[in-house]
Amino acid sequence: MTLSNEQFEQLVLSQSIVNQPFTPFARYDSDGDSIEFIAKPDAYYGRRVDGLLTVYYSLNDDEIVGGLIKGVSIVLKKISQNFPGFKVSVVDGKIKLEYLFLSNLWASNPDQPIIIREYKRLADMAEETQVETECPLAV
Amino acid sequence: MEIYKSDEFDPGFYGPKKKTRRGYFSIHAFDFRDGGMWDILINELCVTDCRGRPDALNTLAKIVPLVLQNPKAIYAGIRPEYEQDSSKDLSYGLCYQGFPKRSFRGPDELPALPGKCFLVFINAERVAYTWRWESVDPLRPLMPEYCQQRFERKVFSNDTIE
Repeated sequence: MTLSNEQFEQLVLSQSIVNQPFTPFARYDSDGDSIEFIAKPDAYYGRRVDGLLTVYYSLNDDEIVGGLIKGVSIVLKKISQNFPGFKVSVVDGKIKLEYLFLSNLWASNPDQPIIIREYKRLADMAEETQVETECPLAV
Repeated sequence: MEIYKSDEFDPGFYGPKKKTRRGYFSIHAFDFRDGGMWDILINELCVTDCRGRPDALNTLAKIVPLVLQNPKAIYAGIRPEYEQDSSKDLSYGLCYQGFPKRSFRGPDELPALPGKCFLVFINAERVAYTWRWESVDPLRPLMPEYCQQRFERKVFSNDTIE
């Protein structure tokens, strides 16, 4: 059944999750073949860094709060073809998020320092928050 | 209101207006094919992702449907980064762009963000999978940044929306 706007709003806002404490997370979304990483609970805006990465910046202080990696399965396939040992990084179907940021960086091989910097900042953030995510790579 | 047509783009690809799937919300969105409404799906897990983030929850509940139903423009075809990725999934991906009059910061409702537009990305199966505020193009303030690099074509625009 298609929800009216009122029904949708009520259904979404009735969830008590908003009162639960925030914890950094990442989730692979097969609908977008993308991984979204949220490290801080600030409201944000996105800025496309390249064709694979959009970085989220806080509306409060312009600091990075997370990001979205696109084309995840294609990148992972490419990486694992070039570096078969990459698969050992996948444990129980999960992978450390910093590996994904770094592998995206290696796969795209950007020449602009600003792109490299943003990938590295996100990788550092992922390492600090110890976030893992489902890995859409057949091992 | 203008609907753009192209021989390389078949709007019939999207199929019937009704759409449902277990584990997904089904909500109305503007159907650029005929100016009516069609269904867009949103994964229920997206609500869980809003844990501890009231602005994210309010944005999903109030801003996303508004932009889907009153887009300023709709772009089709997400340009692939790699050749291997030039599938129909990307060619028929859609991006709804809107200029909502309000935004959320923590639990507070605020006026719209200056210099920003709101984008909702939809895959070829009409599932909205991500949405966010982004800066507009400084030279063309009605368009999102890097618009021509990112999308293959504009399929709809509404000049009556400011």
